[in-house]
Amino acid sequence: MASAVFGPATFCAVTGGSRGLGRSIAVLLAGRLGQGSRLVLTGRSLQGLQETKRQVEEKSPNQLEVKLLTGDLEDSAAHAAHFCDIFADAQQGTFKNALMINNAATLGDGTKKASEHSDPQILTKYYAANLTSVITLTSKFMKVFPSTSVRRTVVNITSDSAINPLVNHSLYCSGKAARNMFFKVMAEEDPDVRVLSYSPGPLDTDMLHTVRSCGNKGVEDLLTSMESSGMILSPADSAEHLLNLLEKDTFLSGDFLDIFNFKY
Amino acid sequence: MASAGLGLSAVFGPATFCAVTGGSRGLGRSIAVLLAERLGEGSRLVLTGRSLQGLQDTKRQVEEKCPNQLEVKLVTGDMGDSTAYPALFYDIFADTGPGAFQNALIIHNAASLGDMGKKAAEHSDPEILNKYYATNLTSVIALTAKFMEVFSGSNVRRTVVNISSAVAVEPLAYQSLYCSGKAARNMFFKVMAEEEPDVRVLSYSPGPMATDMLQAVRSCGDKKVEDRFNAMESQGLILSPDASAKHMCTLLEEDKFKSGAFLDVFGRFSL
Repeated sequence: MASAVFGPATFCAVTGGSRGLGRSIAVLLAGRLGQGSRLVLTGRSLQGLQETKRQVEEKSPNQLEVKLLTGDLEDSAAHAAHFCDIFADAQQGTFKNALMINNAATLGDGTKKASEHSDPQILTKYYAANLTSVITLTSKFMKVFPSTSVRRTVVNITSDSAINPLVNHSLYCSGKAARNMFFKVMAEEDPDVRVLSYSPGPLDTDMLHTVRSCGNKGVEDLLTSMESSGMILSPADSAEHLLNLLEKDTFLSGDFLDIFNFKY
Repeated sequence: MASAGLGLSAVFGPATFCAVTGGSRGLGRSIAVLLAERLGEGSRLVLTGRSLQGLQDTKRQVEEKCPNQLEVKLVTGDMGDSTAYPALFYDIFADTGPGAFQNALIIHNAASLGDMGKKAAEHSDPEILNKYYATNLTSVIALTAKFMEVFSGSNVRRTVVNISSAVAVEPLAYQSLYCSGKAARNMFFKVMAEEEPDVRVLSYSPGPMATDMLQAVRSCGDKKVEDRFNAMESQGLILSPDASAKHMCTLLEEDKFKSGAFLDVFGRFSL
């Protein structure tokens, strides 16, 4: 049923919509976004985005306008044009709700220890994709949808790696930590925006499998034991939990919550 | 005199290489001058910063404390420019052949605040952001990697200090870049500490200090921020950078901290 968050005329952008959690979020939203809504999905893989769109349209064939945009967030020179496309024809007054889900992420080179990240170009690209693109995209979102008539929600898909160090993943951990703090500050400064940092838990996605094969035995063993204890979740379940949190709308703006309802 | 009253420790003993970024003023200067007394025979202090004049003033103060013993090298450069890192890092670590030093200490102190006139949602220019995180995050990572490469080998005792801030965990309006950069660094060094058990890694929050940086924050234009610092000042909570540098050195010399810990000068948190 359409709610205040996902009601009629909702603009929703989901980055990293070509697979994994992004896809699950998109498909679930399809069932909840009301009349006159638009879903914009971004990612690197057009094929992946098209598959997501197909699944979305199965759920919500007529009502929802779905727009696909390919782009690589590592390339900050391309951001301006990419972000313009995301928000094209989203003039004020068209939408009553606007929802930005910063989901796209990369892991960085999992074979490198923290002290082995010596190439500044690689570091710059990493933080472009995982940190600065999120900042500039959010900034564009806020500019396109100024507060007066639109209810705005910004979601930061984070990880408990923002708090709990994961060996061989110093870039991932630090990027998530940076985002969490950034959004806490934003929540303080813009009290009329609903800001949520959501940790989806360990999910059965390509990303998890990449972490698992990073070459560090400790990490491999950890994930193997999580799997055998049934702790690896489906992205659909996690996406559902996220949407429930958003609809219930009782979280404190800027909060960092995880799927197990643990508040950091 | 160099060793009066303090003794030389395992951390700052003879033949210590120490690099301090942002050594041209503020906390960096205080750390440099304090270390001058404590670094032993055959040690070298390398100071980096953007202002040659500032570095020279620091060097002068260091040499007043410790005229003969300590080799002080100054390297000017801008950490915001990643194309300059190879040359910069080369200069920092020049003539550090194997066996030259028994201890190696790097203090990541240089930092910038970013544009405090902007709310988080107003940071729209990727070039400005890239430069900000270059200065405050990627330079620190790349420089640490170089430090670890230069001093690889088990017979050099290595210490890495990340000068952090309470705002790594406490959000402060108009400081989204500074807060997020510090949060990123803290987490990065926590991971490093786990991966490198034989390196002493410390994230140190120096507290609010009477420096140019504090002055800049105070005059950012936001009344709440101004009031907050005025209140702190009237309660005597603004430290001298010397006092904070001393506390940091004590932590390092006592050497009891858990590697990767985030410690605050007031002991308000230990994360």
